Amino acid sequence: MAKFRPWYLLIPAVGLLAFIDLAPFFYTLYLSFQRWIMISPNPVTYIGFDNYQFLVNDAEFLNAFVRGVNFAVISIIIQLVAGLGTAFIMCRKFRGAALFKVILVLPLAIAPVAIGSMWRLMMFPGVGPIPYYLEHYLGFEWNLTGNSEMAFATTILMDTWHWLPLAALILLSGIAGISPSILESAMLDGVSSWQKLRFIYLPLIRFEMLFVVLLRGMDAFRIFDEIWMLTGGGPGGATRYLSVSLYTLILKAWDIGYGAAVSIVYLYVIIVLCWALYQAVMRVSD
Amino acid sequence: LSEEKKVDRRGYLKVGAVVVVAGAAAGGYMIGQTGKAPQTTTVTETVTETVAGTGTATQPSQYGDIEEFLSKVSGPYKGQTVRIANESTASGMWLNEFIRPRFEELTGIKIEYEFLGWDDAMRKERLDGAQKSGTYELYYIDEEEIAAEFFENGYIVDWNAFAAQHKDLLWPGYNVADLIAVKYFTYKGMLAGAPFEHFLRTIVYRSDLFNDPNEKADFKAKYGRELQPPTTYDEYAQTAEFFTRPDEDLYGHVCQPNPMSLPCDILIGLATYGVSGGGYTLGRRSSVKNGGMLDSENAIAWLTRYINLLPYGPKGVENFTWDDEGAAWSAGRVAQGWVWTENFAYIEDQEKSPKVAGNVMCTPGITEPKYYRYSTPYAYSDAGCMAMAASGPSKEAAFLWQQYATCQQTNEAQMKALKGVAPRASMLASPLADQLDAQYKTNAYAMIRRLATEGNLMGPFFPIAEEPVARDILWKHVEDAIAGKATPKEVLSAAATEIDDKWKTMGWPDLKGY
Repeated sequence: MAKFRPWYLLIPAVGLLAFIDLAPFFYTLYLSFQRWIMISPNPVTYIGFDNYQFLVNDAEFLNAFVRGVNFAVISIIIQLVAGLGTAFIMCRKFRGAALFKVILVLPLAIAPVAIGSMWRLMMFPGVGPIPYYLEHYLGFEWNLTGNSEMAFATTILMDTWHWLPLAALILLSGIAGISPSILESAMLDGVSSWQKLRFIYLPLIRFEMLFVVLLRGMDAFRIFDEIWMLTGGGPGGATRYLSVSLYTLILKAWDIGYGAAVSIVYLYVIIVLCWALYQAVMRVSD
Repeated sequence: LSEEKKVDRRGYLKVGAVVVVAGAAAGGYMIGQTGKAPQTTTVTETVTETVAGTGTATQPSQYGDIEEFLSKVSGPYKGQTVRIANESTASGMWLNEFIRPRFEELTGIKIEYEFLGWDDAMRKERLDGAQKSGTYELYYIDEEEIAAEFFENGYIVDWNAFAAQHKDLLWPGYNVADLIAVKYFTYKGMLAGAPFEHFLRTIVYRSDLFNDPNEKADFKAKYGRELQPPTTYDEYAQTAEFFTRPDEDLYGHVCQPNPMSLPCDILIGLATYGVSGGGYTLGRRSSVKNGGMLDSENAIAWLTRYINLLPYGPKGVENFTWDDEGAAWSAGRVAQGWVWTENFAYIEDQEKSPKVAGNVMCTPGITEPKYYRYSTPYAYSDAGCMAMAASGPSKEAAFLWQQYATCQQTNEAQMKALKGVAPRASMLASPLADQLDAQYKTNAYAMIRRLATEGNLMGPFFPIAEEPVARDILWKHVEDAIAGKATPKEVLSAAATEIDDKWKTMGWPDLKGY
């Protein structure tokens, strides 16, 4: 019996985890095979794979998915590149460096819903200061509410503003971990800045870079609060990413059964993506 | 753990098996709960907002009999709490600020309002109703189809039946039939609740601008007719164009096309183009080929008009909610546009809106003569009631609050304070209505009375419980038209087809009980 004692000790924790994680999952899985529109007096009906069958051909789902992929890929690339630049700035010693770091990380302390509201106020045509100054000084009209491309770009800008500091801090930890002797040797060999970046920094911080991609990839696919506050998914669905689409499906149209099917597929998409990225991180770290 | 006792791969598999079995057991339990809503924790936040300039504290002497009655019958319910999920409407906030304290003093019953956006209010009410959690005693309901849905799903109780069973708690002087909006909340003979607010969404204009001699002369020179409040959409479009002057930060039109608010604009506007009930039939069909009108010529003409008017609105109008619309009004940026008259007290605040105060006038609404078959004006009549939650533990206390919040004396104070809310027919017919119109110069009560007398108060929604499903589909498509990605004809055609398909998959017309 003593052999099994460790397992007995694990039972409470495993039981709790099973209840918290697995019970909702199985319930959602169960619901995904039902037709249940909560506002309808119709009873819950088992419909097999009908929800999944519908999902495969659902233009709304597919468009939302593609929009989400575009958003995630563009955001991550920008945040990786800009984060690297910011990390290099943070490495340097200059007057006000401490203040710079404090200001830089402030967005991380703000709730996403507040960020969405702030950006809405800043970017709203006719009210926000940014479109005002863009128009008055550069003659450029930035229309968050009427132009799909600009609304999409604004969500990327907002996400970058929010998460760039995190990317920069992670990359900074990688840069700080590089042995000074390597950099000194490179300097003695007369390597250029570009060569230093290409052959020293990038290979040595590739683990941190992949970690940023993994972390931000998961977050970017799940983004909801900021987008909901900023654009509500508009204009014309230009920023209706999968999470926004799912929210409206379940909590506005109350299509619980189909929403559950979308949630399950959504979950698996994220798991597969994360698994692929995780494998890449592990390969690099080995 | 010693080296030999370290958990190996097989051990992990065993743990995994335990986890799966536990999960399956939990899943089995949940499956046993078929039909019940997922258990969610709702975070409640009571917001107490001040409705600036909307009234004065109620004097105890005003209430006479009902106060004596409440003091007498409320004894057994003293100490109970009535929780209300309410949209943050002007009337709701006014009741909370000015009427609630006196009721609490009289009865010892505590009233707790939770003010929310419309969407959030509906979400919390539905989840509370489905879970029967008893968080709220009263649900805010403002549309016929919500009342239908809540009755069909057993979330609320019939007010009439409750009153009949609790005659001892019904103040003898209380006349529920006098409340104008009772008809909107009556479903299959059942009444969802006593309506505490009733007002218009109609076209409102700035009388100082419309009566300005220079403006009149300029308008006549440009359009060859007198400048006057519009009665048709063509006239409205002309005045909208005339008053749109971005250099002066003045605009000729305002509405609320934000996805959260868009359905109101679309469904209300459709009715003025002769498409009632949002273009759906009671048999749950929306396309013309199936007997509906959502993709009809009338509906396409309305949406085209709606989109063509947007350039006359302030910048960003494509995403305006009511809050944005109201703010534009109170800032004096708008010469004419739609207004919910319950907000007159807000947009006409003497201190905050000096440019606008005393200068807004109601019209009885505009219609499109080519499509709307009657020659009379037509405006949307909006209302809200507090419905008793079936799972609410303090129904009797809630019943007493409903009466106090909607009694004649409260309504009188409400009309004075909010300038555009008229819950009772008798109050509309009283000299008070004319007196208030003369005082506030809004003409709101005369307009409500006229439309009510002529039978042109519009309740655009049919009591279709599944309407929110259609609404969700509709706004997604209409948004595409507003963003210029598709034409009105394309989006309405696509929406009608999708809605019909959705209702078919929901089992209609096989649903029972309609």
